[in-house]
Formats: sequence, structure tokens, C-alpha cells
Amino acid sequence: MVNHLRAWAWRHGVPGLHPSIEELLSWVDGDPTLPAHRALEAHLAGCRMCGEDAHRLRDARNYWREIGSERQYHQTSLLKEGLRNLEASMRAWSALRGFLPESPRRHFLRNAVNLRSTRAVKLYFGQEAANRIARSAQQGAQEMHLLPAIKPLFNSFLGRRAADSVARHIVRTV
Amino acid sequence: MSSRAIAVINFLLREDAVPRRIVSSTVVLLLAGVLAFAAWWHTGDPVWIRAYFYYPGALFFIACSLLEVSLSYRCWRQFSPGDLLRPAWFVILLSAVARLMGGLVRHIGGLETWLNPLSYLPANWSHSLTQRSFELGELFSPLSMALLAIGLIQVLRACRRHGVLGNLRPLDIVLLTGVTLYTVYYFSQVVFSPLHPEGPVTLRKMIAWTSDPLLCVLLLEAILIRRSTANLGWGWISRCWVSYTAAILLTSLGDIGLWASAHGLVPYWLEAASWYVWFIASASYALGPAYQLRAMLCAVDEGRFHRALLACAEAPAFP
Repeated sequence: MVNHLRAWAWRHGVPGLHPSIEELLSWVDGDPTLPAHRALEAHLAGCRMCGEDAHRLRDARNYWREIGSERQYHQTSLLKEGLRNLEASMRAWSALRGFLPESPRRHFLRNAVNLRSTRAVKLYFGQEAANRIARSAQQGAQEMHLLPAIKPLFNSFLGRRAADSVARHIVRTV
Repeated sequence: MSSRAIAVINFLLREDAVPRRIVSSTVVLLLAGVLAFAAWWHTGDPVWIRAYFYYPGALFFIACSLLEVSLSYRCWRQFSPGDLLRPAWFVILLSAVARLMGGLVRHIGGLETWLNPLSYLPANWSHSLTQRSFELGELFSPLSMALLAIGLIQVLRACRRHGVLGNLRPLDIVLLTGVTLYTVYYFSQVVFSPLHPEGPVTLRKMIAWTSDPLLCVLLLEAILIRRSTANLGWGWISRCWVSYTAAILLTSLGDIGLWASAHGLVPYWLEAASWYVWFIASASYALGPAYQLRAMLCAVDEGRFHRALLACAEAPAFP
């Protein structure tokens, strides 16, 4: 309902409202001469910000078509890993903020790197921080990788050099 | 300097032992202070307590400030350009330098003791220069507070970024209100009073007056950092910032103690106790960078990191 209202509003030139990323993608992927896209084209002609977004999306689509299937697979893996790390970082942030439930699902960490990561958090930040981080790993169906999630915390308070060393020691000794 | 002396200094200043040595030397100094106070009480001769504050006391302030400068400098160097807390540690280093300068000018150059090189000048010069030095020393305190406040703001930003920034509790609000009311009262009685009980207004006095509002800001930051670290536990990084919090709280306490004793509001034993608070505050300022440096050096040394992690693993498992 809200999306329909929003789409209606930008099509009728209500200031401050812009097409969604899905609408831009449909325009980039589809036939620009279709009648449904005429309003969007009119908007793009007058809106520099949306024009730049559409340009970037088109470049990305062209790049994706040009690279081979092997590189596509590699890029997809990197993207998936990045998303997983982002999700782990978001959970770690929520856990440190105290937003995650107090009682953990399991009483141990299965992954050795995660166990050492939580011990490093305990050593540097304290028991409560380690508990919260451990809980954040146990939230999903699968235990999440904690090292990419805790590294920014170490980066900030210890500096990149020391944080890199901590990450190296954690991984090397497993 | 002989190699043996260098080895002894290296042993005393070993990074992992520095926090322990700061705490033990503070305890020794406070015990000596109790003995000096008892001797004064017993004999009625103030030379005991005066000698204690003028010699070991003054040297302790300088030693703590010197240590704080050296450790803060090493902490700052451990951060790489672009790191979030590198600018914070740089201003904390400047704050430590200002505190050291203030200590040298006030506790060494501003007192008529054998430690003061000015006391070896002709008597008329010596007296006026010593007094000037003491007055000059007052200016370094607001400078060091302002720099520390800037540094701590950046630490709070880092806490907020990682979701560990704590909230104020009712007790914190009561404490902050108390210190703010004291500042407002002081300003109404001294700064904005048409009578100016402290004499004519000079630039030096105006700068010195900023100490109390700055202390209010520092106290707010210190309490927020304390609440944030309390959310985490008692790790090495937390200890660093808890030390700074303790130093600021004790400075506030010492300041209020000075004001209360000047107005005869506290019993004599409490007034005497407030003199010793400054030593613990000074030691706490040095403890902050000592904990931070220990944490950073342990991270880059694989052997030490493994030993620390093993010791950590022996503690109870996660709930």
C-alpha cells in the first residue's frame, strides 16, 4: 500500500519522492520504450541523483554480462561472504548494545575460531562483552563466524596493527 | 649509565608490570603519608607533613606525569594513521604533557624547597620567581583538562559506533548535579560577584576559572565511559578507561575537598584525607595508558597473547 502510494506520488511529480531501487532496476533491465517506463524516464530527465543511480546500475549490469561465468561465480561468493560478515557484524552490534535475548540457545560454541574470538573479547573488553558476542553467534540456524564481526571493535580500540595481529593469532593457533 | 642500571630501569618499566608497579608505589607513598601525618600529630611539628608533601609527594606527581607522557606517546605510536582512536591518543598525550609542565612549574618551581633550582638564586629573585612559577602552574590544569575532554569525546564516539555506549543512571545524575551546583555556586560567589573576593580579575584568573566547568564536562564523559565499560566487563581496554574515569572523579573530589576545607565545611580528618586523594588521581592518570599499552603490546606478541588467552580460558565458561 505504502509502496503504491509512493510510486503514485513520484509519478505525479510530488517533490522529494523518488523511484525505488526495484523500479530503477526494472527500467535498466527492461525495454525503456514500454509505456510504464515513460514516467520514470521523465523523472530521470529532471533528477540528477536518480540519473546517477540508474547509470551506476546500468554499468553494473553491463559489467556482469561481460565477465565470464567463472568470475561471476567468484564475485557471487565474495558478495555472499560480505553479506554474511555484515549480518554477523550487525548481530554483534545488537548483542553489545544489549538488544539480543539474555538466554543463549546453546551453552557452547562449536567453532574453534569463534571460541578463541570470544576469549579474546573477554581478555580485552570483559566477560560480559564476550557473553554477548557469543550469544550473537548462536542466534541463527548456523553458528556465525565471529572474527569479521569483532575485528572492527579491536580496530577501533587497539588500532589496525594490533587488531590484525589478534586476528592472525586467533586463526593460526586453531 | 652502566648496563646494569639500564637493565634495572628496563625491569622496572616492563610494560606488563607497569600497572602493578604504579599501584604498589602509590600504596607505599600513602603509607609514608600516614606515617608523616602520625608524626605531625604526635609531635605537633608541621615539618613532617610539609617535608612529605614537598619532597616525596612532589617527586611522585612528577614521576607519574612523566610516566603518563611516555606511555601515552607509545600508545599513540602504536596506532596507525587513519585509526579511529589515534587522534584521541594524540590529544591525551598533549594533555599529559600539559599536566607534566604544570607539575614541574607548580610542584618543583613553585615551592621553596631544595628541589627548586630557583631557590639557589639570590633571595629577592628567588622569592618572586618562585611565586610567579606557582601562579603560572595554575594555567596548565585547565589546558590539560580541555585536551583530555577532547580526547574522551572521541572515545565516546568509538563506544557509540560499536553499540557499547552506556546511559546515565539516577546516581550519576545526582553526582553530576552536585558538581554542577558547586560550579554554579562558585561562579556566583567568586566570578560574577561584584566584590571579587579573590582580588582583581586578571587573565590568569580567568583561565583558572575555566577549571570547574571543564571538570563538569570531564565528569560527564568519565561517567558515560564508566557506564559503557561496565556494560562490557573488566578487560584490559576497559581498565584503561576506568583508570581515566577514576582519575577524573578523584580530581573532582580533591577540588571539592579544597573548596570545603577553605570554607571550614569539613572536619579536620576529612580535610587531611582529601590531600592524599591527589596522589591516587595522579597514579590513575598514569594507569590509563599503562593498561592500554599492555593490551596493545600483548596483541602484537604471539607468545604473550597465547599465554594471556590460556589464562583467560581457565576462567568459567560462557553462560
